[in-house]
Amino acid sequence: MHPGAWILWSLGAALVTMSTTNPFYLLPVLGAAWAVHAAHRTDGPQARSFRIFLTFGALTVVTRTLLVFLLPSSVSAGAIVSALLEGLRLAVLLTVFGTFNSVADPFGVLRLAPRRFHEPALAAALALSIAPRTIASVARVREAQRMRGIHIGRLRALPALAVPVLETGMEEAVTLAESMDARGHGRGRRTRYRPESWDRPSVATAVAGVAGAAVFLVAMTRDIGLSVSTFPLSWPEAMPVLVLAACVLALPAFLTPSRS
Amino acid sequence: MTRFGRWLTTAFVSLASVAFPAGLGAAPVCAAEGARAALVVDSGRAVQTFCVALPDGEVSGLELIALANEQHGLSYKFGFGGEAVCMLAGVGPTGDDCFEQYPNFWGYWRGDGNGGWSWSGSGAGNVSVTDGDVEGWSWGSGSNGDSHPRPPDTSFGEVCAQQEVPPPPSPKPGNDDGDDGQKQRNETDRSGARSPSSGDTGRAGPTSRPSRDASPGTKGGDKRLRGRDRPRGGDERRERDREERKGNAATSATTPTPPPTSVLTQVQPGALEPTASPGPPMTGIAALAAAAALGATGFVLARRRRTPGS
Repeated sequence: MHPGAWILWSLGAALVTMSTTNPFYLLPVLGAAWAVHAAHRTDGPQARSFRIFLTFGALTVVTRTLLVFLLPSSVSAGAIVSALLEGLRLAVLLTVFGTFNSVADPFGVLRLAPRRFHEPALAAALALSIAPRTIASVARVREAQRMRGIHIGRLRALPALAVPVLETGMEEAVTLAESMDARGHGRGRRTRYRPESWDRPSVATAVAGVAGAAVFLVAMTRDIGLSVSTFPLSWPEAMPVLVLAACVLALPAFLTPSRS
Repeated sequence: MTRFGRWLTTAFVSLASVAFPAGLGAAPVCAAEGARAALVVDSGRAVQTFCVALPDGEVSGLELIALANEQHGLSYKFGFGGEAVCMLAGVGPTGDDCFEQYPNFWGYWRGDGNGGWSWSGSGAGNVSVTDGDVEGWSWGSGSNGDSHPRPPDTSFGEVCAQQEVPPPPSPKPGNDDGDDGQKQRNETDRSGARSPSSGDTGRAGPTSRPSRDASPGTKGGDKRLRGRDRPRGGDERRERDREERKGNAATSATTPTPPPTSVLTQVQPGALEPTASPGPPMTGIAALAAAAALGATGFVLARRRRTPGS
């Protein structure tokens, strides 16, 4: 799958998520992201990073809801529901980002950047891949500790874990930058080894993301119930078109990528 | 960078103020009958007060504005997805971007019960307005209660007379006609906020009357328009106000505000009758089913991948 297709898809899904707090639109997006992740995740640490994002998403919902109880104003059902929906939106956004992280190779994305913007793109790619790389190095450090017979309690293991992890992360980034430099990235001589092509699944993926976003953008300008009224509390509307647009985002899950 | 930071802070604060729930005073909804709230709209040029009857006893700050439109013809426009106030009484942006004329925007104030005001930290959509509440909106710049211009001090009794309870659903036609007409004309001339046709709603007359009859200190029979002699800005501001007023008078003469029915489309259906929430809509259930189906697909796909892979 072309990395550009994943960029368009995840941008579209993120836009849909940002535009609404309606659970009838958010939950299909969540399902779509999960299905796409399941169908296309790359092997390696990225797959694990998705789970981390999902956990963070759940934490967001809980934290956002707890905030209601901590604030000085009195608690009402509408306040709790509105907080829950805000949290859900953030959680779905995190899930979409996690999906992008697990299906797209950040360095494949980097290759798409025009030469002029190579260095900022490199920084972006490093930033994007920080979660999977950190998780991978945490796993490695813990394994090394176990092999040396070091068993420390969970909380106290944190400093012993953090230093080597940070160090490895730094080293990896420098190594990566150096190796890319050595291969002529950003110097105009770029090897085109196995260039990705816009095959049919890639186009369909990009179209799904753009179409979903377009429908929600139109809905935004038309001012139709994208935000839920929580005062008074009532069931939000669900427009069939918008539900369908949210479900279209799952299209890439049903496409078999041309294995290269 | 700092500019971006400030922009980010502003965006965050305004988002938070819209999003953060308040549910202030979740007091038990007492007798819905005869419940009223006072609404003060200070456009910088003129101050209008409305005594708004609450048919349900409790509404949100936004619905109060919609009710003021229904009962008194106050023109308004909500933006940011119907969650923020863009335009009131003809002042403010009419699009969906309520910060179009930033730094000026409609600041939201709540009466403190003693005639004074406190800056509302919550969005008007999440605030509950009950009998006897005073709500204020003022147009100007300043992002908090220290720098934003305050509406003039107003108590509930000044706006809504204690002895006179307006019957919200049934209008009293033809009561004190000449006087009412006089008042409405005054308001149109000076603020341009109100189209003459808004009197056609029929409810405007009786429900708005208490605001005039209420206070003993009223001179000249028109206390709904005050604020000329408030110590708010310097000479500069007054100068600017005068110019703006001139411009406004000109535009209001040529372009009348649309009738209230057209602006009312902003209110979500069912928002005004909280009891009528039967259950989730069918499409909503279908959406949840679709979400569940996608989730199940994900599980199947994940398992299918795992089996031949390892």
